Amino acid sequence: MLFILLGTFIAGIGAAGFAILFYKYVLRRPRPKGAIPIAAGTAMILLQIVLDYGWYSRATHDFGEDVVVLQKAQGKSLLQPLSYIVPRTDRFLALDKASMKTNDNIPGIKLATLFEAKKDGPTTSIQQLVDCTGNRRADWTGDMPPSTSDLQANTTWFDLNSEDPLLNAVCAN
Amino acid sequence: MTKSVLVVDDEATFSFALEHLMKSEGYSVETAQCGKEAIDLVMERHPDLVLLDASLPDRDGYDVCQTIRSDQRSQDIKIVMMNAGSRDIEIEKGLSVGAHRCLSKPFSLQKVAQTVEELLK
Repeated sequence: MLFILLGTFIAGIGAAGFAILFYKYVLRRPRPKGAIPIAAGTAMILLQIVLDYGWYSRATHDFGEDVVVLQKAQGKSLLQPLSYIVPRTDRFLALDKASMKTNDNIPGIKLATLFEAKKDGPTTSIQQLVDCTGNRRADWTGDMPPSTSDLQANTTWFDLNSEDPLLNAVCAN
Repeated sequence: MTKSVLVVDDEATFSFALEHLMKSEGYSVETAQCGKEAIDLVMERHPDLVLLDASLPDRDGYDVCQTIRSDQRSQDIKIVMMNAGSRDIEIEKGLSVGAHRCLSKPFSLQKVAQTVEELLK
């Protein structure tokens, strides 16, 4: 956050400097009164737009094939009117296939970790038990349940549509 | 004794995923978002391994790697550089400043887990 703030100030100062030099050496005429604040303000707003709209691609760029984005959510803000015209991804839910767990005692059930990433907030993780044969999921904390009886005693299941991205991604292979 | 890993990356989501992965593999994990914080944590906590992004907001990751390598207190720490590209020159640069392995982004989390396990076994 600090680096973004510093970058925004530097962009504003740079654009103001550019406006001064542009009027002095290229246009060779007196600078209008508002030229510097307009140049600085425009550069700062443009940088903010680039950073806002580039967040999703920066956040997902480094992941390999074992992280699958299941859902994206778009954010809108009255202070950022462009967000009403051009959709902007502010949150996403991704499955970490690398840490998926199974247990031979409870076939068809997989324990998956999902990351919920937010543009303006910390990333959090959620664990889900997915029943690939029964098309359902359950919230879960801790390690993979050791047995079917343990699973039945502690689990509230929610049915999933067969097209559900979580079901498809977790049960793909 | 639990081995410790320091994850250094300024991209919060990726850093979180690496932190989660390392914890699920049984390591104790610290994170840093910039070069200065990374060097401070290395000197203070002396982790067994550092997962170091090559491009950090305040300092070059290669420079951070060299600083860690050149200090006697941290010479034995294993370093895995995470490069932005897969060009040979970047991998060679990482190895030349003292990294034990270089991983080219994007990479699978499974590969990170394997690399860390190999270096810390």
